[in-house]
Amino acid sequence: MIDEGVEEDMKLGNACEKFEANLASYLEGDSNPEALSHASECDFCRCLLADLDLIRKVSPELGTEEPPARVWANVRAVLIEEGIVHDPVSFWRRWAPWGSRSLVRHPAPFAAAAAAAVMAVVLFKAPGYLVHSNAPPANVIHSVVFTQDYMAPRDISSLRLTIQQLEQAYRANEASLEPSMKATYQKSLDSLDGEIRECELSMKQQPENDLAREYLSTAYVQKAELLQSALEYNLR
Amino acid sequence: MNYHVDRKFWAAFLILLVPASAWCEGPLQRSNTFNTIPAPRITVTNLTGTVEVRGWEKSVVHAVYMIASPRIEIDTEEVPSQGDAEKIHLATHLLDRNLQGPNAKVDYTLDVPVGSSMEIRNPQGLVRIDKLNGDVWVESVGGNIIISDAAGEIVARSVGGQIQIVRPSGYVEASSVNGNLEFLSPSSSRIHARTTSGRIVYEGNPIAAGEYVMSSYNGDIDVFCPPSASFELNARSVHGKLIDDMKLTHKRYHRSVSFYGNALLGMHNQGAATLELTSYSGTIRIRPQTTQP
Repeated sequence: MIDEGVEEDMKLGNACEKFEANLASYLEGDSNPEALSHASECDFCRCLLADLDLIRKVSPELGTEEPPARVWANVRAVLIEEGIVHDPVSFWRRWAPWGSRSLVRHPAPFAAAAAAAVMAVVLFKAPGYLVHSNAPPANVIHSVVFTQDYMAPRDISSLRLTIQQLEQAYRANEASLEPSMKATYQKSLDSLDGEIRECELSMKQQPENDLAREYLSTAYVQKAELLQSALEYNLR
Repeated sequence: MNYHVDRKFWAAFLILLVPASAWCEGPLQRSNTFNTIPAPRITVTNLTGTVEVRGWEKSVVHAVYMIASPRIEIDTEEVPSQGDAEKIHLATHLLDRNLQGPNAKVDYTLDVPVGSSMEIRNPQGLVRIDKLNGDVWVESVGGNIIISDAAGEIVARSVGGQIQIVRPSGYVEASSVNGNLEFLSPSSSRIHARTTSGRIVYEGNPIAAGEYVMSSYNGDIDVFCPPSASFELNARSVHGKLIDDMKLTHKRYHRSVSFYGNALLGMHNQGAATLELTSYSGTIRIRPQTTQP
């Protein structure tokens, strides 16, 4: 004999599953009194609905800034490779596919997408700082500081392009930064620009100057990190 | 009769006026106490103001917040929500997004278990950490960072602020663009430091087999070591001077090593530790420590 409480939980669980299945269409504008009625009874689903409603309302107000095209290209490439991307589907069905596949029951596609996005961001952010956090052995520390001396000219030109994009985004948004933060970022950008200019000049005069090359690539990485940090604080 | 009414009115008025004026003029004080495991992970995310953290022997986090405006709240989260917390998140939450500068200020003072690991983001304002055995990760934009007597791994980054690390014993990584970096009496075997235009100061006795890698662009690097220090030095600079006041036994670079600028390869005593110092145009100096810190 099933305990009454357990039976009630099972009923609620079925109702939650049904709610999840109808959620995407509800968020796209379909009227669904059953979903609303369930949300009024179930704390968990009510919170979920409130959060998604908030995202739906706030998202149009967010900036329209696009990350570099290669971030999306990398994410898409991984998704296609994994067989996750199929025919185009609507926004809510894509990000909230509760109808046929529960987020909890099938986390792998989301994990893969997140991992790809993180990889893309980290790679584009700072190739030299991938190994720093876990008390690396001495030879690794050395490579952290001087890792950029392994950076090929192709990587430097790619980094330069990324910095240009980041700098454009920063200039478009700097007015909204808190004044003292803006001053700190500007002073640091000036220092790094000075370093880049001087190192580039050294490189022109002495193309074999390894130390100047190390400083140049480190300065590029630092500038990319700095701009990214400023943009992140600006979005908060 | 009228006299009595007036007197009561003024008495009530004064009673209300005192806290009201304090509320208007001074910051609000709030506090929380959390029971925790002996080595919890604690995250603090602030916008502006100071964050001071002290380790203590109790398995309790006591947090006091001085809040500049009633339009700021402190979000707290304990994980798990019941029993001793393993993780605690504290975050400044502006209810009014237009708050800026001193109006958005929150000062945090935390007493935490000595085994705690800390993750602190405080863009504008001092971060001070004292006596912790867990790992410490601190990020700031314009604020200074002072960490004393930390035994775990330290990662400290500030865009424009100074970083001072006193008596660390774990791995240290510190970086700043415009700020100075100071390492005083470290017993860490690995220190990694970089600044663009700040000065780097290392004052202590390098540990045998330790590696100390410090780099600046145009800031000076000053290393103060006791006469008993045993280390090997590899210092290089494109345009900066290299000054050896410790009378190192100079060595020649292997002829396969080619470089531009100035270089100094030398040894002091048995050369047990390794110091790698580089600068683009700043001066690198190795000096004897005159007084024990």
